[in-house]
Amino acid sequence: MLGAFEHQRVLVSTLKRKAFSVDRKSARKVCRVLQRIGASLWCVTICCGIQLSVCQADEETKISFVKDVAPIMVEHCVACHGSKASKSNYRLDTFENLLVAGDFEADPVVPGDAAGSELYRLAITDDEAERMPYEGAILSEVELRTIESWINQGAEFDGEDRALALVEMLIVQHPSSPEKYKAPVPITALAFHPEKDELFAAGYHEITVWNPEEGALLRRIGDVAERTYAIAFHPDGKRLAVAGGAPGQRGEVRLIDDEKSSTTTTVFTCDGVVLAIAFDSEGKRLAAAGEDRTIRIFDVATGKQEQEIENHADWVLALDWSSDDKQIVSTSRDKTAKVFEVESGNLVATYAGHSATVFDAVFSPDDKHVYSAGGDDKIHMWNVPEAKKQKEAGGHGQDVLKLLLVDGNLASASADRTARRFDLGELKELTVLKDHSDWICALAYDSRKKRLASGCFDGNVRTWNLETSEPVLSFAAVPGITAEGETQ
Amino acid sequence: MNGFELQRVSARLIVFAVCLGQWLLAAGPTAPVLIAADWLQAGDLDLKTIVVGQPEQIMVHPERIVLRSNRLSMHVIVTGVYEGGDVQDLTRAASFSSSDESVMQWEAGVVKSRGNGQAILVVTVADQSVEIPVTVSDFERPMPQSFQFETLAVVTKNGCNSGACHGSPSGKGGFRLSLLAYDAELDKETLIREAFGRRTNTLEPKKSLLLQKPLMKVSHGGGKRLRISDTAYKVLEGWIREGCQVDPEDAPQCVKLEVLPGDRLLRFPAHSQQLVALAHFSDGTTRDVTGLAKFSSSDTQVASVAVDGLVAGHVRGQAAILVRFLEKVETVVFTFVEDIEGFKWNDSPENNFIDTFVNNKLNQLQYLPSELCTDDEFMRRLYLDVLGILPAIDEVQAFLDNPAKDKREQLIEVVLQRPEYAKFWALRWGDLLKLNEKKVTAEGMHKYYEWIVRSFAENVPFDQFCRDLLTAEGSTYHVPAANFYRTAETVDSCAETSAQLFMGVRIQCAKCHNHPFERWTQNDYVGLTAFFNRINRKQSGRTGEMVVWTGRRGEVSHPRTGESAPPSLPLTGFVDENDTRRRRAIFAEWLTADDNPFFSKVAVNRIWAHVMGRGIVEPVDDFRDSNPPSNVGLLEALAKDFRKNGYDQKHVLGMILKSHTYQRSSQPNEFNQDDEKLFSHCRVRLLGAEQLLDAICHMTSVPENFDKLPAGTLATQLPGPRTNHEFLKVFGQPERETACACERSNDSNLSQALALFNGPLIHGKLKDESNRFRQLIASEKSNDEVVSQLYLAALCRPPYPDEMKSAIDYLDKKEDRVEAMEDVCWALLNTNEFLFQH
Repeated sequence: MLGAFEHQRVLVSTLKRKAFSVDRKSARKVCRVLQRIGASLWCVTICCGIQLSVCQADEETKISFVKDVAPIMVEHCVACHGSKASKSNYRLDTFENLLVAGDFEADPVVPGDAAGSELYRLAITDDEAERMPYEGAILSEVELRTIESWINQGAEFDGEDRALALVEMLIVQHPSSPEKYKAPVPITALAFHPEKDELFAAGYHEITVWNPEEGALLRRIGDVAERTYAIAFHPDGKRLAVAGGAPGQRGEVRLIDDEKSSTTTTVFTCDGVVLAIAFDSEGKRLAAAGEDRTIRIFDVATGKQEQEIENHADWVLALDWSSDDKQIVSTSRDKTAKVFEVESGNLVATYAGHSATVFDAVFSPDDKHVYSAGGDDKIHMWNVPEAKKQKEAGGHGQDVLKLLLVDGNLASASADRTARRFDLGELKELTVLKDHSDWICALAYDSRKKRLASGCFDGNVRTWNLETSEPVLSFAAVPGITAEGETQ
Repeated sequence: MNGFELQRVSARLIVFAVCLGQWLLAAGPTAPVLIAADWLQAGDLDLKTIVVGQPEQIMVHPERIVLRSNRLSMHVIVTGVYEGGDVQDLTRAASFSSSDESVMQWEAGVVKSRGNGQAILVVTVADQSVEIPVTVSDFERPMPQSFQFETLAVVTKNGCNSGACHGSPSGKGGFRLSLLAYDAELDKETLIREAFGRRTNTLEPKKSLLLQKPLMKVSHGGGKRLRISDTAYKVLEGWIREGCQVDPEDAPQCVKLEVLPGDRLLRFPAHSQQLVALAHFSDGTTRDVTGLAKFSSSDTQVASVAVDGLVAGHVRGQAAILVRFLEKVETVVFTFVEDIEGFKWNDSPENNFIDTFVNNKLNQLQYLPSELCTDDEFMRRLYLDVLGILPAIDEVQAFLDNPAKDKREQLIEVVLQRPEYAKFWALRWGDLLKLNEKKVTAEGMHKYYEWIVRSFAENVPFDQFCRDLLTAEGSTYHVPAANFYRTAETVDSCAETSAQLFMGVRIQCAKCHNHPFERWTQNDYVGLTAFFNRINRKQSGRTGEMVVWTGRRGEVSHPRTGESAPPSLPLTGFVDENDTRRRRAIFAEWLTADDNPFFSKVAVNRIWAHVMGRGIVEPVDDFRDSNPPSNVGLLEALAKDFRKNGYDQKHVLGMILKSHTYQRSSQPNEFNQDDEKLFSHCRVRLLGAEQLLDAICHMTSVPENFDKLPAGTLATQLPGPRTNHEFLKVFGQPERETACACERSNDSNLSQALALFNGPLIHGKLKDESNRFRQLIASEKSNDEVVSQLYLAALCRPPYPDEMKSAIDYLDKKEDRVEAMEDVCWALLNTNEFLFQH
């Protein structure tokens, strides 16, 4: 977010660039607006400056639809005029759509003529009953000028695909994460570095990297979406993929170069958060899925999408590749787990035995079974492709949220504040790891050191020695907050 | 963030015109002064000018204010009391000032704390001032937002957890809240944790989905439901900012909700009233929750209420304003009266206290009662209401010819002693007690029916009747009342049936969640079921016999907590009684005690509705604060009279029948034609299925035969519903599956019209060789005589001359006299005067 001072500076420079058709009257209006927000003498002085420059203005900066206009539409318009809701049968979720009139018959955009464009007229009209955003605050002067200038300059499209959703077109530079957190965030994802003593945890607009032996913060990787729901290391140990987004708004998957601690590629963006990602065993393909119910498979080298499976009726919550890389299992809030053949996208099996949200699933090492965990508080073992239940494990008294294969056993994490370990053949409970005081939302395993890490809703991370079932270390994986929840 | 959000003046902001002085009275020259009350959020209310005039006295609520935090504030309401006792809300016309702004400030209708200390709030209107002491303490004490009493309250107020939205059993869009926040534990998980905390963002609260969606910043299926200026926004944003804290376990509970200024009678043009909701907590503190409580009106045609508790009346009448603060519900009743041009009270006679209460209400709301009905109308009405049948022709003749002044009273006494009384009222109670062969077998049904008939014939006091049913046990052959537990097969059904029949409470809704419109909670429901938990039922060896007895142990478990729940009396609390046999007796004794708030009212209301066609509370088994009686005084007086006379049903019925109110004409006048519920005139209604069938049989003199029952059995005297009788079914005979009076349908439909025009039943009666008119023709009666007899049989009166003329003209034209008479008889059966009770 911009500070007040910064904001005014941006405003002034934008006005200088863009206020060409502005006459004296408009300039006075601008002054009034400025007075209203800032009302400082400094501000008024600058205004006078603008007024002069307005009179002489002839330099013109080209307005970019993608960079300047689309963000305004996404922020203020798409919620009511998009794919989920299209009030007055008008949509401006894509460039193509925004040119098509809705129930009103006037052309939304008349290139070269902002005054004759309905879109612009509805944004500036004094009639509050019809002014957009409906029942909301009027667009800012800068935003209005941007739209006006863009139309007057010919309403050109400078993107690649006119049918692409504007939200996917946005070039998102994520805001920086807070230096010190004033409240903990849930640890929704954890991953160990395959070779180093580093534990990666989900933060707020960042991934935090911790020393799992001491709980010390090593690094912070920024430019990440608001929430991160999954972290996956590429088998090469040099790159990691992070999935997440802003709830209810957009989601994305980014590839991060671990050495540079910065984003190298945005694999894709979509209009719902991404909840699950998984690399195949060789790291050639990346599978991702989430709120938009779609499972996407990407070629990691080219970044090209190879497969798209839209089969679940609700959010997809988890993904796991079979060890032969031919199948993928997905779980969903639609109360099923499904197995698909990746190459063809064909459905191989549907398991509905939980009769509740299925939070996670993993293939057995021989790919003959799937272990799934759900809102029925149980872990089920079922065969593929028959999808018949073979075994069932209770124990957890609440939702079982995560599953992980750990050296020939199955680890689980639950809202009952425990993690547990089961044997793979009989689903017999071997150990109960209890020490957390809130939901356990994430699990990671370091096979080199035989350490299990569990991430908790309250921001704490614990590591466990699986040979003794004893906790090794407990720390708050939140910069600025200690394990006791105190702000440092 | 957008720094340019212009301050928009809400389009809905109403500019409030306040006229000072004696403008309307035209006695003073003071010019009207217009004040724009910019703190007023009137929603869509259509508010008119307040004429302050000259109040005799000014009252301010509350009388003293204590604020124990920097976050608390208090609404203040100002009332003007005028000559004659009329009152008016002057809150928006008054001016307020604080004696010490460092302690307290008045702002937009509320007093806000500014620092510890004492101050005086001076309220001035119409040259009068009132001083309200204000104490502020604990100003520095941090007061975190309460999850339950603030967050969940506004979620409820804004409708998020209503039945149509996220409160539905499966939620909406994957987001499910408990209906009206009855399950705070569930809501806590859902709002804070579910889907890894996606709905709240403690680091950047404004970005929380919980705010972005209803603001429609992010697409929301429910549309725009929140504005940044709403109290709800401030509460939710504040709660998230403070880290989505939940209340400590020892947090004070809300023990009582109080609504100021209570019930009000307003005389137009006075038509608006600000309400203030006060929550009293278990630690003795009181908090203004006007901004957090949900307001709704029972009758929006009469009055609306805005989100901030401002009530506005639209037309004369009554409306209950329901105020909900979580599970606490309070109701205030508003009566709006208006001077109707040309209205002059007609001094309608008052036969007994009933007329006094009815007339007072009519006079207050300026409706004129209709005249007395004619003797023939009275007789037909009385027979149909009390006996279910039409009087014989000689009875009609005798009554019409009787010169006695008190012949109506005489007839009432006679009719109440007739055996058909008990049978007809047993028909209605048979409906409510679910007497049908499927439930209790044919033998059981006859035994149960006979028991009910005997109870009515012997005029068993109603409290005794109720206790007999509720405490019955043994063989259903020997103790027919034990069939009560045969028709109510489960613990839930026992509790629901008892509550609906004798308390007028539809408690079913509270089975799964707190009642959406009422004070009843799931705990009340569970507590009630516990009284019936130990009842056992077993088939005996004999056909159709069942034995009902009480077991020694067993408790119901609470569906939410899983803990066992002891019996608990509504409004009273837990009963410590492990003696199995005593449990039902305790409930029955509580229910039929003189101080029970439900029993006598529900009973008299049923009797009233039976003969008047509409209950004082309607529907008759839906007593709730949000469904107030149309005449409170009348209902209370009837209930009191009922109790005083030992729950004597015949006594109350007699009082009603003797009243002028009962005997009023169905013809409305200019000043009562739009009255539906104040009993200014008789309510016209279609005869019930059995009444109509008996009336047709009586009129044609061809009895209906029912299988397995003696010839001549009347439809109104059937022990159970006839599943195979098409005519009865079409006219709404209930199957008796529920204890709801609503199961008896009084809707009209096309099948009924067809059955009357050319249905086989009517056709058969008209063609019957020994029917009334064929017998009369056979005995060589003239056309005049036959037509007269038919009219007397059908309508209890001879035909008017023009009716006689058109009948005779028609008969004269036709060659076949019998066929022509058939047509006349058919026409008479199809007149509204025959088909309707009037």
